[in-house]
Amino acid sequence: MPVITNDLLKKINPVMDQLQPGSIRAFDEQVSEIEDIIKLTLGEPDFDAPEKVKAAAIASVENNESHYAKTPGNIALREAMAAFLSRKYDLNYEPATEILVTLGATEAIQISLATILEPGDEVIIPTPTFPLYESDVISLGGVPVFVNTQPDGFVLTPERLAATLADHPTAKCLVFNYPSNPTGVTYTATQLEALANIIKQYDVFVMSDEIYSELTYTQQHVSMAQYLPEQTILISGASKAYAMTGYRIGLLAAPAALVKHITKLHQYAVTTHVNSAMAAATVAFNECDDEIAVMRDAYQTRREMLVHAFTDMGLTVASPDGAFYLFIKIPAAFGDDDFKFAVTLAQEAKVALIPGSSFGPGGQGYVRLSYAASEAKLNTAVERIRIYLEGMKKREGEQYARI
Amino acid sequence: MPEISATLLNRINPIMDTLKPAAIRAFDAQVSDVPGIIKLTIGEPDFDAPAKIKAAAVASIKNNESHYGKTRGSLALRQAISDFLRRKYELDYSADSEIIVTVGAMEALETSLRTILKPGDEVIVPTPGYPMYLSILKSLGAVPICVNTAVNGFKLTPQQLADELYHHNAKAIIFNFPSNPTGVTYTAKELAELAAVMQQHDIFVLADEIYSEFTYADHHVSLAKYLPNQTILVSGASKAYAMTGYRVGFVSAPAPLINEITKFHQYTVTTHINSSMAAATVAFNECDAAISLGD
Ligand SMILES: Cc1ncc(COP(=O)(O)O)c(C=O)c1O
Repeated sequence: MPVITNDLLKKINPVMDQLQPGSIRAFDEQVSEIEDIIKLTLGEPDFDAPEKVKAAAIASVENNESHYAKTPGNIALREAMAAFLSRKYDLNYEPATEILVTLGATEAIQISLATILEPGDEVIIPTPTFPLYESDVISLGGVPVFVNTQPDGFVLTPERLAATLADHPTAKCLVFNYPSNPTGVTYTATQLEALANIIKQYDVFVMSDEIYSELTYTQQHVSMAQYLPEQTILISGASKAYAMTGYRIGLLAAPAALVKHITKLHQYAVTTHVNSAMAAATVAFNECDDEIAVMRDAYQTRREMLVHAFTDMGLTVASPDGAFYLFIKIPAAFGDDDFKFAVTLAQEAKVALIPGSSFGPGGQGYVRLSYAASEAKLNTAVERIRIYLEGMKKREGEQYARI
Repeated sequence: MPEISATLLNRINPIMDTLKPAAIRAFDAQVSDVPGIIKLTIGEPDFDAPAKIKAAAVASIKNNESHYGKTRGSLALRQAISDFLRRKYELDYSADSEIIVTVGAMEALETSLRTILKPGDEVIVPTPGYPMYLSILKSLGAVPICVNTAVNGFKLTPQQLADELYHHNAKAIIFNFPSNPTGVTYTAKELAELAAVMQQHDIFVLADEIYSEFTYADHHVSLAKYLPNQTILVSGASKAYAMTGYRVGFVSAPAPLINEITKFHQYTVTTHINSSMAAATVAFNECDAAISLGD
């Protein structure tokens, strides 16, 4: 039991005090104690990784691929990623120089921001969004500039972007995530092109986190890199589409001159990725389009069931175009207090959803539901929420009757 | 083939231009094309990982352990590391609060240094040493104070350390033994004397003991035995168990420090890979005999 003195502990990097452990995981752990709770909290596929993918990982272990891999990742995997980006999104990236394999999209996001940011640099972050971006920016001494997209149906409009860039002309980077965690909203080709035309007028990087690109239900995904390849750092990975979160495969694609720099920080951070995970991901990107389609269909069925059920209960949801999230407006009785609603729902209905304010400005008054969970679980959750809301209405009615 | 504009490329953090890819790996890649070359360049065991370790990785994959692991690593692995540290080096670290599993010793070093250093902080680095220490410090804007140990048979002496600490208001010392590149290590008595000097200052000591299982004369003694309250102990499974490619490292340190390091670990990688962690659990628990085969 080593015990550090307070004097020494005070000497750590002062930025540490501003950094909080992930609030989503914290809330998840808090409600996990409640007996019989159904948790729709985490953004993690409930499927197992495809059999072919597992077989490739096993073969790699058995073939003693236990030595250091190449720093940017196996070339076979980088080729598979380039082919995937070309086949699916019509993008043209050179495997040898323009693609880097990272420990999840998480690492790709961190080392990209660390490469471009100096202390004091502004980063434009449309919200509500995945909280990691803010944490990374703050930890690097950068300054997040939040743009609340709630008034526009959780879509960043060209007008709002133009105004933001005019106010912050020296911003270093714009973080863009779609299909969005937590709202599920995505962008059409026309919308993207309009945004790209504005971004082009500035020397600003766009970090486009498209990790959910394979999970769209209303349209084919179009990448920001199609309109703005020179400025885009494209982030993706195998976690969500292939149900491989635990394999920690991230993908970064960008101009070679930038990848060269980012690779240095990758080397300092982790040296290189794990061989068996890379072997698995190579098969995923090369051979698993059909497996993705099966999982996407399952998400789509759940999504339709849920949208129908919540509309029926009189609740509205943000346009559920992609990913596996529904962003649900909480009942008027709770006002904007999504935290109170989420806690009450967890305690009384035994269904756990994440309070929307965890995702930044514009998230208040909403909760996020992850439908990366079995249909049976989702059906039970819906029933519990319905019964709880009916009970709530009845109690309200009785209160009125007493007055 | 996206092309970035020169003006935009100019806007990246100016530190990046001063950073180099690891010199050792660059040199290794450069000479790899020489026909008939025999390379003794990379610090990597030539053994394959023991069969038990591989079997554990395979079982984890087959059992569909394909979801996010716990942020600090599986409790089973942290327990195995805690037991290993007690059994081998008589150290007392709690699996619950004083150990975090990292992606190699490299992530352990990087996240630990990032947790304690802000730009401008001075760090004492005995040299010759592992070049990545200097690279990481540079990337964080910290200032290395290199202390040449060649004059003392590649050992840092208590007097030398005391002098440096007198002249510099250093935040930390990076202390690696057995040493890469010299192979030199320290006796219990030498460590106790150095620890006595370190104790007089509010400094962190990053003890990189990744080669601890490779001592051929005396049994390895950890700095943490003499200086537990200031030591950030970095090690891993890479070298001892011939499993570099599994990328399993760890940090053990006082609980409040582990809490802070955990934040950066989460931001950098979220968590480790389950099959690697399952393999390393077996390594730390059951493979003491395999290590001594490397004699
Ligand atoms: C928008 C977004 N980006 C990145 C990630 C992290 O993905 P990975 O597991 O590949 O690090 C997530 C996971 O929740 C996410 O929602």
